[in-house]
Amino acid sequence: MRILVVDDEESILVPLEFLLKKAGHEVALARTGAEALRLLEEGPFDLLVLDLMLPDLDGFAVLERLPQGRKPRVLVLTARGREADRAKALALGAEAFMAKPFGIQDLLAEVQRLSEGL
Amino acid sequence: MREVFRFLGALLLGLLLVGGVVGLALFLLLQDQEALARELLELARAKAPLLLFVAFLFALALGALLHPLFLGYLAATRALGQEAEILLANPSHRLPLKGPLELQALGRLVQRLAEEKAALEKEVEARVQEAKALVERERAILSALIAHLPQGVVLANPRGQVVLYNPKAQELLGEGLGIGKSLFGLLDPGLLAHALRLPKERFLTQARGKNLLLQAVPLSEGMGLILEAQKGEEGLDEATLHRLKDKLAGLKALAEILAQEAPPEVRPLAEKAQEAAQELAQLVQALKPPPQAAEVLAQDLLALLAETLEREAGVQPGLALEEEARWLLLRVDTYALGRGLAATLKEAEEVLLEGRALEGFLRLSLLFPHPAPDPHPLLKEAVEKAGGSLWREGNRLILLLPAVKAPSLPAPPGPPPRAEVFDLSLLEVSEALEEAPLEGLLYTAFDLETTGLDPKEDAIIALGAVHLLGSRVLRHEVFEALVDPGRPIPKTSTEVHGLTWEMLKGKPKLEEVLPAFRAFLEGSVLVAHNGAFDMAFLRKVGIDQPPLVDTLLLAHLLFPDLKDHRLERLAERFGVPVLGRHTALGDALMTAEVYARMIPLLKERGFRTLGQALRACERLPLARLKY
Repeated sequence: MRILVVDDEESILVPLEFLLKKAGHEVALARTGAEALRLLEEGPFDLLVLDLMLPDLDGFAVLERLPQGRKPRVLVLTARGREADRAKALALGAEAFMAKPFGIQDLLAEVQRLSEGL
Repeated sequence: MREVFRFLGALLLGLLLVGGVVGLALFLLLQDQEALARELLELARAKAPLLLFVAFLFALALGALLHPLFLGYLAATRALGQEAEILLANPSHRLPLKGPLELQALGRLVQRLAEEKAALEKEVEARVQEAKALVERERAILSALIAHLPQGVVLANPRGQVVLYNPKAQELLGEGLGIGKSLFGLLDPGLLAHALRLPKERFLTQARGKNLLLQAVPLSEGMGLILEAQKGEEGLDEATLHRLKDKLAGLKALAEILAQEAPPEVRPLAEKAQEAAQELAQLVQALKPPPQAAEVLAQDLLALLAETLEREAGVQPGLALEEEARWLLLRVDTYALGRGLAATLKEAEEVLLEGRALEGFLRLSLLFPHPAPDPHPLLKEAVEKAGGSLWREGNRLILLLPAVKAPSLPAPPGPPPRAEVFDLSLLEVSEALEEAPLEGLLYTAFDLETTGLDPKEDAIIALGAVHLLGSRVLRHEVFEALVDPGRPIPKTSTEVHGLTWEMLKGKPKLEEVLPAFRAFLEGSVLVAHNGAFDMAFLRKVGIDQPPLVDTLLLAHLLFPDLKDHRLERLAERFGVPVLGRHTALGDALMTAEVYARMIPLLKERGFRTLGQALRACERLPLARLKY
C-alpha cells in the first residue's frame, strides 16, 4: 500500500515511517499541507495519514482540496482530539480519526483495517 | 384717581335717576291739567332758590352716601389686594391695616395665612434639606463600599453617560472614564447591548489593549457594569496543549518502537521509557484548557445570534430549533460568535439558522439559497474558542458546538436580584431598644401551629415568621417549617390548621428546626397575635427573647370599643387580604401586615417608642392573662 504521512513534527514522522515500512508499505512523507497536495497530485496514494495542524494549509484544508477521482483513504492523526474536530474530519471525507498521543499497535490496527477495505 | 371718576359717575347717575323719576312723575300727574301746571310752574319760579337749595341738599346727601362706598371700601379693597400681592413675594411684609373695619379684619386674616404659609414653606424646606442630607449620607456610605470593591464598577444612565465609578474602574478603563462622559467611546457599544441581554454572564473584551471581563446589568434607569481584569494566562492555552500532545505522541511512538526493537541488553531500559511515556500520555490527556466563556442555553443563543445579525449585518435570519435542542447548554462567547457570524453574512440576503441536538453537540447549520460563504476569521476564532468546529457543505455552513443537556429546566425568570436597601439611617440608631422609635426597629412577626392548646402537654408542629423593618414587611425574608411531632394530632386541632400526623411524618424534628428559627429571630423584636400563647410554647423549648409586641393587646389599646379583636377581623379592618389563615406563615404575614398598619396609629396616640407602647399594653387587664 502506498501511504503518505503528513505531519510537521519530525518525532512523529520518524517512528511512523519506520513502523509502516516495517509493516510492508511504501511510505512517503510531507511536512506541510502544500507539499502533501503536490505529492498527491504526482502519484496516487492508497492512504493518507494526516495531521490537522500544519504550518500552511491545515489538515482540514488538505481534506477539502484532495484531488478528485483518485482520492486516498484518510486517517486523521491529530493532537486536536476534540469530538468537534472528529465530526468535521469525518464530514469532510476522512475515514478514521485518532487522537495524539496514540499507541503504535492501535495505529497499525487502524491502518490494517483501512487497507482491508481497499 | 379712578375711584374719583367712578364716584362722580355714580353721583351723576343717581342725580339723573332721581331727577328723571321726579320729572316723569310730574309730567304724568300734570297731563290735561294745564291750569294746575301753570300754577305750579309759577310757584316753582317764585321759590326757585328754595328748590335749588333742596336739590343741592339731595345731591350732598347722595354724595355723602356714595363717597365711602367708592372712595373708602373700593379703594381700600384695591389697596389691600395690591398689598397682599406683595406677600406672595415677601411673606414677611406687613399689611397696612387701613379702611373699614371689615377690610381690616380681612387684612389680618390674609396676614395670618401668609405667615402660616411662610412657616409651612420653611418646614418643607427643612425636611427637604434633611432628606437631601440623608441621601447624601447614604450615597457616601455606598460610595465608600463601592470604592473598596475589587472589581471595577460603573453606573451609567440609559444614554451611556457615566454617573458613578470606582477607582478600580478608572484603573481598568483609563482616563477616558469620567462623570458625564459616554461609555460608548470606551467599550464596544454592540457588546454592551449584547451583555445587557445576559446580565449574569461575563464577556471578554478589550480596553487600553488589555483583556477585560465585562458584566453588564440593566438597572431601572440605565445600567451597571462590573469589570475585572482577565487574570494572567492561568493554566494552558490550547495551542501549547496541542504542541505538548504532538511532541509527546512522537516520543511515545519512539519509545514503543524502541521497546520492541532494542537489543535484549537495553530492552529493560526501553521498556521503562515506554512506561514513562504511557504515564505521561495519561497525564496530558487529562489536561484541559480553562473554559473561556459562560454557559448559555441554546434557545437563548439563537435569539441572541438573530439579534446580533440584524443589528450588525442587517440580515433577518429564519430560525428553526428542534425541541430537544432548546435546553442544551453551551459554553460559548455569544458576542464573539454573533460578530463572527455577522462578518461572515455581510453579503448574504437570506439565511436559515437551523439548530439540532447531536450527541454532545449543538449542530447549527446555516442554509443559504446559494453556496455557503467562506467563514470569516472572527467566526473561526469564536468557534475554535468554544471547542467546536465549522465547515461548508454545499449551501450549508455547519457549526458544531459542544453542548450538554441543561441539568434541569431553568426556573422561570423572577425579579432581578438586588441588594435590599431600605433605610440606611438605621445604621445610626444607637438608642436603647426601649427608647427606639417604633418605625425604626427590626421585628419578627411569627406564628405557631400546635397539636393543642396546652403548652405543657402539646407540641409545636409548624413555625412561620417574617421580618419587618419598621412598617415595611420584608416579604422575601420569611421562615417556614413543618415539624413532625412524633405523635397523633387530635381531630379538634386538625380542624383548625388542617395538619395531620400523616402529613408531617418525615418532616424534621423540632430540635432540628429550632437553631435556624432562633437565628431568624435573633436581633429582632418579636411580634405575635396573642403572643402570650405562642411564647408559652417557645419558652418550653428554650426560646425566650423579650420584649414581645402583642398585636392583640395593641388592638385593645387602639380600639377598646371593638367587640372582636381576632386577627382576621383586624386584617379586614385594615384592608389586609386574609390569605392562608391558620397556616403558620400565613398568620405570621397577616400579623406583620396588621402591625405595620398599627404603627402610625400608635404614633398618633402618642406611643412613639417601643417602651411607651409596651408599658401601655402592660396596663391592660388582658395582659395579665397567663398560659
